[in-house]
Amino acid sequence: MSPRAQILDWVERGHLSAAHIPQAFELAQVSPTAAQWRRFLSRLLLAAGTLLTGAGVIFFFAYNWSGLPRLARFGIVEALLLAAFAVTWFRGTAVPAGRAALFMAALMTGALFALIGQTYQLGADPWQLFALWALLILPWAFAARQPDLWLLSFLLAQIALGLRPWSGFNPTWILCLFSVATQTGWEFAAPLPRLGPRIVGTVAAVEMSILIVSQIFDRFHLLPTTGYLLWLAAVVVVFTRFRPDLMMVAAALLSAIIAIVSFCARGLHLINGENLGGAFLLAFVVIALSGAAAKWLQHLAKREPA
Amino acid sequence: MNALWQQLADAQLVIGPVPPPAKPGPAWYVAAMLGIAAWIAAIFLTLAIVVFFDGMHAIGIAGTLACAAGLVLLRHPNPFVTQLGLAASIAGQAGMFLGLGGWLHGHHVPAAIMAAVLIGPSLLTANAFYRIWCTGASLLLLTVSLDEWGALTVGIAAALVTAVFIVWPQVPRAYGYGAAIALIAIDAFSIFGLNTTLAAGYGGSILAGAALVYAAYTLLGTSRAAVYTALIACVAIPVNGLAAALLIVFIGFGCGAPLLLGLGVAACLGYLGHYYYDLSLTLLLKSAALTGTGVLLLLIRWTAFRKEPS
Repeated sequence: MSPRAQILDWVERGHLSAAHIPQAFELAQVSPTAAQWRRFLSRLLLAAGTLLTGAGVIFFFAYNWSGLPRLARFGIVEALLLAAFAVTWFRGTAVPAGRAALFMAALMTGALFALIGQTYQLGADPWQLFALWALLILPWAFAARQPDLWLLSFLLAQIALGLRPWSGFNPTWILCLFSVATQTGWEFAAPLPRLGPRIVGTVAAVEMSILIVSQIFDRFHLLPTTGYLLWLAAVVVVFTRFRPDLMMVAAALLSAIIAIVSFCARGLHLINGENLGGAFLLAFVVIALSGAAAKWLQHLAKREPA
Repeated sequence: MNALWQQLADAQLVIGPVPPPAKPGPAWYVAAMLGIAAWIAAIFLTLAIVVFFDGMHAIGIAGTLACAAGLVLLRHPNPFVTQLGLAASIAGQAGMFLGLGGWLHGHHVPAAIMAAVLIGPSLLTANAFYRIWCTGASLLLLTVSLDEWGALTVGIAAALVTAVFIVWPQVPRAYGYGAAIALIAIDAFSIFGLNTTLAAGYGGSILAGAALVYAAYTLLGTSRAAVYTALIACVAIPVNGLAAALLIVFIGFGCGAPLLLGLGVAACLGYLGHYYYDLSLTLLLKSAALTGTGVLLLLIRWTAFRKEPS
């Protein structure tokens, strides 16, 4: 428990008067120091400023303003791209300004591709733009070891895979495979800090849940269902034994609860409206499973080293 | 925590021996999993109430009873019973809303009544998820009841988040989290063009901006910070949701609430993605608003933190 939470707990239990909270916070030094505030605000302004400016430029080119000559359009986006590279080059990726500039360069690369497609009508599908964009910024993400670039590349690849028509394949299955592969790679390459692998892992859990629910209610295929079960087992084993991260286990357990309830709902013909009384039973199934999952997670948490 | 208690005792803020440690609650991800599961169970229970009881009045009465029973169950320490209590109470609230809708017709008045009613149960339990749910649902129902001016509830939600985390820290944080989630959801409704007018949307942004300026002034204690945030809030008015997201990020850092910080960052990214599809402005105007805000933020950083070591 953090000192702030401890003080608030003592207030809630009546051991400390609410009127003394400001003094207690000051004594325990729970508020950020001036230096911490400056560092936070500096980074927040840089990150938000870069993101909003980059998005503004992308929106501008998406508007396809006919009053602006072709040369001027390319001039603007290429000048911004070069300026971003120049800042990255001079400041280096060890400082926040250099990393922000590299992120801006990654955004401008997409704007440039969109502009090329818009101007020359190459006949390319939208998914190809996103795929190329994701691929081209990948080396920068590798070189700079920058999690925000990794996540941007992952997001673009997801959009590309989602937009691409897959004849004979379930697109959700493809997305699941990609997310799981990305998470596995990230876990091996750079498991710390946990934020990046956790975001990708949560996306994988959401996609896996959508996959299994569609398998249950729509069409059953052996491969995706087996894949789902293997993923479930792997997440539980890996994140309880080899790389303790109970958040990932909780996400997998919630997915399993959704799968089991969907399976029961189908068995009870609840979705077809034939047995709505079964809803009562299903509510109890969810309560029992989630209660058991919570008890198990709390048991695991006690075993984990602090 | 003996050292902390000793510090407080030396300053004569507390007396007596160190209190026994409180029973630790579940980790945030366990609480989130339980909350989502309770919500799913509540959907099934609502369905069961609708099927078993005939007529809206009966559903309303059954809902009220289920809500009361749920509140009693929520006091039990067993996690299974707590889950049942959560699900029963949320399903009961849905039944009450349906019953009120059948009795009063329309949705404005029932939504306003339910928004007021939900404050009661949240005060009667210490369950954090239930408090979050009641606060968020109450604010969202208020938005629905105000119809096209619903975006103005952004001001109430922003004020509540600020009050809970900054002004009255002794108030359980669950209320603040509920208000923060509602704040994001109301702005998301505005972005999707549901139940709002452009003026209400801008009104919401102005109110969230005012809360941001107050938070900056209180947490940083300098008028320079207030002037900078006022500038940002003014430029961010056309970018629906940005001021609210920045407020959440700001309070999240200043009040040591990393979950709130993450929520604010995710909301900021989400708004940006959806802003593209906002039909009330052309892409050129949206581009000008985004670039203007972005350049202003970078300029403020350059002005205020030029001499900062990286």
